[in-house]
Amino acid sequence: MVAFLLTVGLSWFALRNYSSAAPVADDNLRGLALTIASAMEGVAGRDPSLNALTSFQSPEIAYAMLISPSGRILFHSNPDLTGNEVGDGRYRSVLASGVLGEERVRLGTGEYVYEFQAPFHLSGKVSVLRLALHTWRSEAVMRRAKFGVSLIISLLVLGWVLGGTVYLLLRRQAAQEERLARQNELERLGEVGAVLAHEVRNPLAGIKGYGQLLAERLPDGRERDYAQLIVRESLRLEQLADDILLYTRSDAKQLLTGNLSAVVGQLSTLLAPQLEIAGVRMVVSVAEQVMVNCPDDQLHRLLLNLLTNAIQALPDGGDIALVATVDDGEVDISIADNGPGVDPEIRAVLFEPFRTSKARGAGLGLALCKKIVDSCGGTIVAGEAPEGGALFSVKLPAVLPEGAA
Amino acid sequence: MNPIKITICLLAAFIMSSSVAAHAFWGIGDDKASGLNLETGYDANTVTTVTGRIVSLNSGDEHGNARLELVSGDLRIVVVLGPQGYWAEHGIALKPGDSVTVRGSKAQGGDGVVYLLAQKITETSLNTSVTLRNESGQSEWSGGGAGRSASRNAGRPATMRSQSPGRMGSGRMGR
Repeated sequence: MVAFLLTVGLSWFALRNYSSAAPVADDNLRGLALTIASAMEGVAGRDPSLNALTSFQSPEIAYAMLISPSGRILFHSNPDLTGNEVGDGRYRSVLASGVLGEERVRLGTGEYVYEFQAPFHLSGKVSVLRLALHTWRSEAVMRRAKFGVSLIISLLVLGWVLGGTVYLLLRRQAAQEERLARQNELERLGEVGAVLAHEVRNPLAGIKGYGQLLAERLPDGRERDYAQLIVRESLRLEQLADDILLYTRSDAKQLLTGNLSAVVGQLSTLLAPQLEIAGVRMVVSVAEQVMVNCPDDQLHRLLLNLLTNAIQALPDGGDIALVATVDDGEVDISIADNGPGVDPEIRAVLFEPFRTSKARGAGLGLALCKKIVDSCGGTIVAGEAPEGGALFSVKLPAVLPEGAA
Repeated sequence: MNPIKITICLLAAFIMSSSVAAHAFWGIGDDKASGLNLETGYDANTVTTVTGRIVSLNSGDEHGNARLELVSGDLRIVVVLGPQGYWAEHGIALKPGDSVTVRGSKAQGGDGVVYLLAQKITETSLNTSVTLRNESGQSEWSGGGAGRSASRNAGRPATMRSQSPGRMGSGRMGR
């Protein structure tokens, strides 16, 4: 705001200075012309033959002529023209009105001069003095004003350009520092998580095993339900440990090929009971033999996470559409539901680990999806489905069948 | 791109664009520092005769005109002699230090320099002269005048008759 006000203020000052320069230049020229006219009248008064005027010289005069009421040139600074008839009648208005006349005129040489015409009293008669003055010296004030305007505007533009550049650089640096800090934080979290997951997995395997044993051996009843609960929760913890370990694994790019059509087929079969229980209808549209640059197990995990999320978003039933299209070397997979959608406020941090809106969840599902897609050289974005629910769009590099290139 | 390179590129673009903008805004840089019509311009009203000493000679300026600079009293004047090709063929031998008398139309350029668009030039010591324009100011190289190279080493001054007053090519710029 201060910079803007300063810019406006300085621009106003420069332009005001410039606009006031032209009247000053005109005043200078008018004053000079009046001085010369007065001096010439004095010389002519002392020598009515006008011969003395030939010695009257000033570097500011382009030419001077004295015109009689009949239009004859009584005196001209070019003596060859004295006695000729003046070529125009512009002197008549001065003669008739007795008022000074002034204008800018372009001479045959291409020079613009200040032309001044005034009544000239000579031996009791009124003639007209026409003076043409060079403007270069008197217009020095305008040249200075022009220079001032150029300088101020140039400095303002330079200031804005440099200020803008510095602002962009600072903003970029701040963003970089923030990204770095977040990356370090995630790395630390990942390391801690990996250690914890590793240490938890072994005792968890024992708990799960004994829980399964108890569930098999106990008769039907409350105790058996407790044992089954131990097994279910152990499985959930095992899944969480697996996710943490997968997330903290190396970021090496995946070079293996996956069969999207086959993976989608397996998932449709796997999720069929869950879909039926939840009352969700899933429509799949994937061509046969669509190959992507992502191994089957990763692809499986990616799509399972996204579809599970979609099912969980439809507790009262609904529709899910899984569509895959191949276009220009890319496979575009979209998973849309007609649930409540993703809150725009959390969309920016949706793929960050340990961020979840669910009561039961570690917030690793979508972070894992992002990691898988990144490692496969693709992109994943969350948006809004046409029906108003969530839409996850995944782009993966397509692998063309041999001979298709 | 490196931020330093970006800054340098922006500054270079700014300097170039401000130069172009300044030229466009102030109407300068149109190949005429003087703003005068040095090739065919002439005005009988400003005709004068100047005698002085040659300071320097220029066989061809940026417009291809031969020029000389002379000093007359305190005044420095650039005398425009016409196209260099015409001057090379029809001009007289001049060198710095020569005293010359030049009759021509005087004008002050936008650069502050006083120009004299020569009608006739005479080298006073040898009394050699050349007429470059006729009495109404039409140049010899554009086919004007009674004859080319009116007097050369003639030992007599060219007769100057009265010229019609008024302006030639009198465009106006009212305020």
